[in-house]
Amino acid sequence: MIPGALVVCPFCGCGCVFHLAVRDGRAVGITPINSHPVSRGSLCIKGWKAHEFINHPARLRSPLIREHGIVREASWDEALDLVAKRLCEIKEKHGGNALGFFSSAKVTNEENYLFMKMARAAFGSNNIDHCARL
Amino acid sequence: MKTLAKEMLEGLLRDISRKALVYCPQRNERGDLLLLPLGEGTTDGCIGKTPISAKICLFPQIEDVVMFAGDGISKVTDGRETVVFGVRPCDMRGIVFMDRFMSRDNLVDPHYFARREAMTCMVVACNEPPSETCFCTATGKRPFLTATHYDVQFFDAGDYFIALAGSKKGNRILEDRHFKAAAEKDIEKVKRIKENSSAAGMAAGELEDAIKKLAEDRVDGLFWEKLALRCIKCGGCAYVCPTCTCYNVQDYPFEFGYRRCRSWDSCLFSGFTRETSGHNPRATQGARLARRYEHKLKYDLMKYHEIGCVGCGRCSDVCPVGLGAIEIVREIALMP
Amino acid sequence: MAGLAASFGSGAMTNSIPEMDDADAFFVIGSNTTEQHPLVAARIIEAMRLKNAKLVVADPRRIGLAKLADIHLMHRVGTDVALLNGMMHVILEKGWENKAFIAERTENFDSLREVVKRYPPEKTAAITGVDPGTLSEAAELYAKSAKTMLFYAMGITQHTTGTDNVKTLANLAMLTGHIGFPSTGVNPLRGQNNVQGACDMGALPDVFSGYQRVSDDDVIRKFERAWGVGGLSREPGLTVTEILHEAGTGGIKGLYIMGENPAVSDPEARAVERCLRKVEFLVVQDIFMTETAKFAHVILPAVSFAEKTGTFTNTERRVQLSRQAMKPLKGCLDEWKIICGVATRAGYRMGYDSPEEILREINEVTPSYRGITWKRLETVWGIAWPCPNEDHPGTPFLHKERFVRGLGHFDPREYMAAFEVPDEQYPFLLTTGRVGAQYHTGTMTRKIPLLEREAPGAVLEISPEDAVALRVREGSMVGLESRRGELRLPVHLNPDIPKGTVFGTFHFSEKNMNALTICALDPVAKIPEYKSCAVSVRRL
Ligand code: SF4
Ligand code: SF4
Ligand code: SF4
Repeated sequence: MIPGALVVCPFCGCGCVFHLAVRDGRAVGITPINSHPVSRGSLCIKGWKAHEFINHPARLRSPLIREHGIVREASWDEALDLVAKRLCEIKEKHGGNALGFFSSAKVTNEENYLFMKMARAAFGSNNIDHCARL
Repeated sequence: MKTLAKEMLEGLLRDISRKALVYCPQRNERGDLLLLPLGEGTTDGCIGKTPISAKICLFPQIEDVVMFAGDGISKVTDGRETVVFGVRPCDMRGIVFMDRFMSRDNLVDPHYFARREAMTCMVVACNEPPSETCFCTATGKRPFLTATHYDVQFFDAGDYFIALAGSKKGNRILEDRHFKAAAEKDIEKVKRIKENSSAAGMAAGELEDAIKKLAEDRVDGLFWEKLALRCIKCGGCAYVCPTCTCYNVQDYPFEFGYRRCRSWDSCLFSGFTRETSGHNPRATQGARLARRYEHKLKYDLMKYHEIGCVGCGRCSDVCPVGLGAIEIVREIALMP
Repeated sequence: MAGLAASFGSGAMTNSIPEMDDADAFFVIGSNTTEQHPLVAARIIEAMRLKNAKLVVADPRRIGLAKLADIHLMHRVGTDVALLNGMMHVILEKGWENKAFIAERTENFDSLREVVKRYPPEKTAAITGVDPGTLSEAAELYAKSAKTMLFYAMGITQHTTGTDNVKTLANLAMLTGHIGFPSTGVNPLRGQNNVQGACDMGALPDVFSGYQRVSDDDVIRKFERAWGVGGLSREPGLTVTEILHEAGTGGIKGLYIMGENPAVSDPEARAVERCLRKVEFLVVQDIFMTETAKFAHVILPAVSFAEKTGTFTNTERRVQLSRQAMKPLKGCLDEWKIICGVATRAGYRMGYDSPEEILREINEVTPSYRGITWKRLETVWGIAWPCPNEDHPGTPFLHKERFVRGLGHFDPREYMAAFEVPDEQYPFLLTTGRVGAQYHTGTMTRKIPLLEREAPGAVLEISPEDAVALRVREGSMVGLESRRGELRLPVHLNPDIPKGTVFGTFHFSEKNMNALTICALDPVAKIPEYKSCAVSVRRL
């Protein structure tokens, strides 16, 4: 893939789009876009610095499982199996109403839609909400 | 002196990119002009002013400067051969300005100069100013270079460029197979282009007047405080400016140690001058805005005998609330 | 949101940001716009500079925009309804209302007149602290400017009276006819980059995507058919705060949290921690080890915005495409792939190839998004919903010619005091908010050193007057205590804060203001009252 692209700012609801530059697999810079109707070639302090947390060393890089108080790395297969199994067990035993799902105001529409579809269709729960009520 | 047919430009840059990293203004899918490594956009209509100046090739938004791993400390410099096409004359003047700043008091900034020495600047003179906010003419300069700070300078002669080398590096570039020998008439053409070009996004009188008022300390704190109420503290004016050099040093831990980076900063941020004691010598936004313009239009003039603004107009382009050089100078000029 | 939907039939921002260039006046209430929505603030500032637009700001603090405003209404925290009813009183008394608009496009006007009558300027002044003259000037500016845009944010919604506040704003706009036209409207500014989209996509307990109600049989049948399942629940589910509460009492046994950090963002942070600990099985999907993830049984590493492709819907309902700029970091997986993996393993197959395919399904099942296709988004700067078909240009402003619900509904509200008011034991009013350089719980922004520097740590902002009374100076440590918890933190003297009020932010987990705030919920919208609670401040 060609590195760099036009991306939507991950912070506030203004919805600025900027160009994110990538070199050697690292996000290295932001350029505002003149033709964008909200941004019009400007950004705020957060938008200008949005590249700086992407490659942060504290990013989670492996699924983690906690057992008996100890956290260990796990493969994706193991982690996803465990999630599905445990959620299904709870659903079997107590019904979908014993499950809760917090979706996110930071992820895409597609991801929000799929998450709510999963909660409702796969786990029979309407206990789905996101944390940013306004 | 050589000529280059415009349709040959892409081929020329491709040739160069075999040996060097090539930056060139390019259009993205929405038609915005951005300064990008060759191939990340299209080169159709690639002559123009990009939102960020060519300084980004020498002084990136974020760069590693030191690695601390185990007990070892290593300085990080990037000496990759880099060729930048489409540098504007104002950008080139900005680079010359940065050269001086980055080696002031005989302290040479190794990160900057590693890049600088490996960089070739292909300047394109402006027959027509690329935007309404260009005002290099008001700073007493013209939209082309006379001193040979450039490696190559291109003049736009309609369907082809006329290219002049300004250095050995430039001469080598002109040896590329895509160039042709220039004709007698081309000398005449360059002369005419020079005579007719100007970029007057600001009246020269306004700038002179503002510089004078600043020199005589006639612009008071209240004036700045009132203007600064508008500032949303985005930092954009410093980021896009070809002569701004502020950076912030920050450490990131990684598995084996930590990485020290520097990233763009701005004198308009309150944390920029705040000392560890909590005391801030530039306590108000007005004082910070004043600092920015006094620095460029007063102190640089005293120190270097030229102002620290090359008239590119980018701060006026990027500021969302009309606090760029053009607007500020106009406000000062309007003062009694 | 619930308030706006009841009045107009739609809960989103009614107008778009570019329309701001042509507005004659702005009324900003409960929004520190410069800090939270900088480029909307910049738009207001530019309209004032270039087009001489006027600005009224209503805020208990002298916020950035207030210093530029033509009129600043410095009303007491939590008295918004009284303030707005007072403005409407003036408007009706002076005959500045838009009679034609009221007659043709609204209903229930008489009951508004009745309620508003009870808010003469003197009484309003007694409640809000805003003098009658200033109130009248603000009412005149709002009512008599040809095109006025109203903006609000969390300062309006984060009260027990949040829904009342919003309905009262809607009343004001309908009374003056500043709605349903370009450069007018009632505009809630959304805090995070995809709050609007999360709501639109049905990440809510009572609706599917496009606000199609789960209690509606036709809707249920439609989704059962589209998704190939039977027995979808018709019972609205629980909200975030209710889910957390149920988790604490054992009703919720499994919790799956994607990209949120309730351990910092929710009121009564300690209670939240207790609830999270009690959950039998907690899954957290995020890009960093958040305070919430520390309680999880399984943590799934997702990708950042830069590594994915998809659409986001900004505060003005503009659906935009965001492109992938780099490959996912090694070990991380796209959220949509994780969800497909879990659902499929749970026995419900999800076999999507790309976000594009998911959007296609959204187009099919969501009438307001039907025309917002991937292909179109590749060439335009977003499309505002509703967009019923592929030839439709989108709808930058809502309620043109008729309200979504038909007639605009006046629902007058009476002023009610905040749930908890200062008393002898807790004499100060604590209000919380954001600062410009940080974002929400700081999961992302606190990883950016420059932003961390610009908002260095949690401080308690107090007025210089109170500082004198408390005998504290800039940087002095104080003990801050509410009925729910306490904190120690340094003070910052801020002359822009009224006496008796203190202000803190919630970006900092180690000094979490939400340890003190109150979980009194607005009964309709169920938004916690972050904006006010009673505290005591003690010199240490
Ligand atoms: S750049 Fe700033 S104003 Fe624009 S969307 Fe991002 S956070 Fe909001
Ligand atoms: S101050 Fe503004 S106009 Fe002058 S060089 Fe810097 S960005 Fe360009
Ligand atoms: S670009 Fe404008 S708003 Fe941004 S920091 Fe500079 S003066 Fe302030």
